[in-house]
Amino acid sequence: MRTYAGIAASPGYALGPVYPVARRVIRASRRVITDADVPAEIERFRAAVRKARDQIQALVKRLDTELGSDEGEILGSQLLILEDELVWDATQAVIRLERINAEAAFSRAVGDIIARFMQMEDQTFRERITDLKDVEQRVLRAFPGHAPAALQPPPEPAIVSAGNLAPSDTAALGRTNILGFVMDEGGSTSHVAILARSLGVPAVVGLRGQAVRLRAGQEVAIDGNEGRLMVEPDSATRDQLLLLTRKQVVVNQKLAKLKDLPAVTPDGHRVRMMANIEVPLEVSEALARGAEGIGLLRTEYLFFQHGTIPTEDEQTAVYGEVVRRMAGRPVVFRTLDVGGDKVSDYLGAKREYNPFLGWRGIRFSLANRALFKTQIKAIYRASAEGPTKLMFPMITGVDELRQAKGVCEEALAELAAEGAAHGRPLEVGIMVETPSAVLAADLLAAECDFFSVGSNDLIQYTLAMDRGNARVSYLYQPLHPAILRSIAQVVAAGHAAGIWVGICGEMGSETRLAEVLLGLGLDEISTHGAALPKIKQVIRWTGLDEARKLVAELMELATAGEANEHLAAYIAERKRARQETEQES
Amino acid sequence: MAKVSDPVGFHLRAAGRIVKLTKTFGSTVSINFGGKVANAKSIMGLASLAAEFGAEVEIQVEGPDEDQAAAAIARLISEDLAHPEHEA
Repeated sequence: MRTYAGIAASPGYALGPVYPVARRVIRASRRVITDADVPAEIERFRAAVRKARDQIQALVKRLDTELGSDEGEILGSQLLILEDELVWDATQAVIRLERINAEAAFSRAVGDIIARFMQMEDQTFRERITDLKDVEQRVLRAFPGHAPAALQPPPEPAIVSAGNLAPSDTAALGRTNILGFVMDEGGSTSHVAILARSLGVPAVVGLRGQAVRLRAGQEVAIDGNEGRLMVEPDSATRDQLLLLTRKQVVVNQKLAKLKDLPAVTPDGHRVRMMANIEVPLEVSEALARGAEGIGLLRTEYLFFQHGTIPTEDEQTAVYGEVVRRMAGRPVVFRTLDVGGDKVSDYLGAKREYNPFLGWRGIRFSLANRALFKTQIKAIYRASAEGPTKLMFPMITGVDELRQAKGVCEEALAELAAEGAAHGRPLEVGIMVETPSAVLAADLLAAECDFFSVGSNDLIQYTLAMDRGNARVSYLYQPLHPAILRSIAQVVAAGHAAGIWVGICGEMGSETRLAEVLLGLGLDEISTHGAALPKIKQVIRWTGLDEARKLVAELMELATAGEANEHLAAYIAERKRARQETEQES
Repeated sequence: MAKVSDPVGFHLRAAGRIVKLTKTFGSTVSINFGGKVANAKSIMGLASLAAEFGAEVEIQVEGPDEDQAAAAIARLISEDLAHPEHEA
């Protein structure tokens, strides 16, 4: 047995075979053909190019109608590469002269051009090579018999291993047969970590090269609480793991009993418990755990799932389904939050040197008004099905909020003119996730209906730490005095203006922080599915005054380390007192 | 002769625009630079010329509409490449 330490990204234990996923690079296998095969082979090549061309053209068409022409232009160059004599004529010549199959001939023609580019010193040629390789893979995939571009879900229950997984990859992986995740890159707030927690399966990330070394079918055990990966576990470890899993089941049964009880403190203060979701599939899980509504519906998923921009009707169908399935409970829609770690090439969001400070969130939406308005219209149409709320991400000031609300007005006017059935979100609010939104919270509160603290980004921006960078991930400190003060300030500004303040970031899902969030005065806590009953349990145990006192003490401490210790001591003391009471009764 | 006006030289997008324009003419167009010759209807050929901003490239045109083609392509290379396509 070999044990590796990583970052604990989603709690729980799992034991099972490895299912490695990686974007496989297709290598053309070489086959010698006869003279008689030449015309058929040339026709196979032409058919593959035609198919690849149709795919690119379909993508370009959507880009042209819904976005600017910039990205379309790059894809347009890819089209020209397909038709290029150095590719088109050269491939056919190689098939004829060397009598080899179309795939191998095509790869050779592309390889020759790459070799030519490699000889040049100019840095920008690298970009051209990437384009060429992209075109090559597109065409190779278009040959019949080649694996489709999308990843396949595991055929039987397994632990998914990967170097890194993009949102589009996890969408393709599906949601069944996944026992857990191990990944080389990423931190506890990466996309895979969030997905794993919503699925209720363990994940260990940041394994620095160990995950990709795992072989298909190899048995591994993962401990998502401690962040450990055990390869080929011995029998003692397996037994221990099974025991821990059984204990977890007992705890889960206890928590299940809380489902229909409100999150109300012994002294009568009520907090709304909501769930964070991405797809309609997760609604039943959220309801089963007792969610009073959806506090954060991430809409990016839909955009990444199919590799194309969803139409207004497609979006309306998905959003409407969520609203219907929530049966009268409110759903908070966050408009498209792309950029940063969610770069999606077909949306025209290019890799940037500083993506988290770049073109993302509301900035991207305001720059792509047609796309933004389409989404808003779909949300308004879905609002005919039940109560909804609308929320804008990455707001840095009132100007963006006003512009976004302006787009809502336009969307509403268009819907009315079209005569389309629609409703209106009950409230329009913003994510508070930038230090500027914290400092200007009073100004923002005057023009919106609610605040939802996005703690992942708020911590990242406030402490100037890249959450994906393992070397600075220690700075992810929810109890840093600057973070506690920021949240307290946002709550104060919101309440002064008479609007509610919630939290939908990862902080809301950490059981140990439940009393802190209560004491900070948050009205709504939106968690990933598995955390909801645990947070609710803590709130039902804790008096509001007691939680306020705890927060006041924490705010006096100078460092996150001291605050962590203080909180741990408080929790241990509470636990001891609770056990005593239980024994007495 | 034409001086390359695109700030990053003959990258793919610039090459793509030259190809698109050249394909509207019946003439055969080749572009010479640094001792290399590229067919102006080949995006890869043009890109592999590695002509930078300010480079002097030679345009050779032969065919029925050679005068119009030469003028249009020279104008594209020396002026229009400086601006994005949709503004040009």
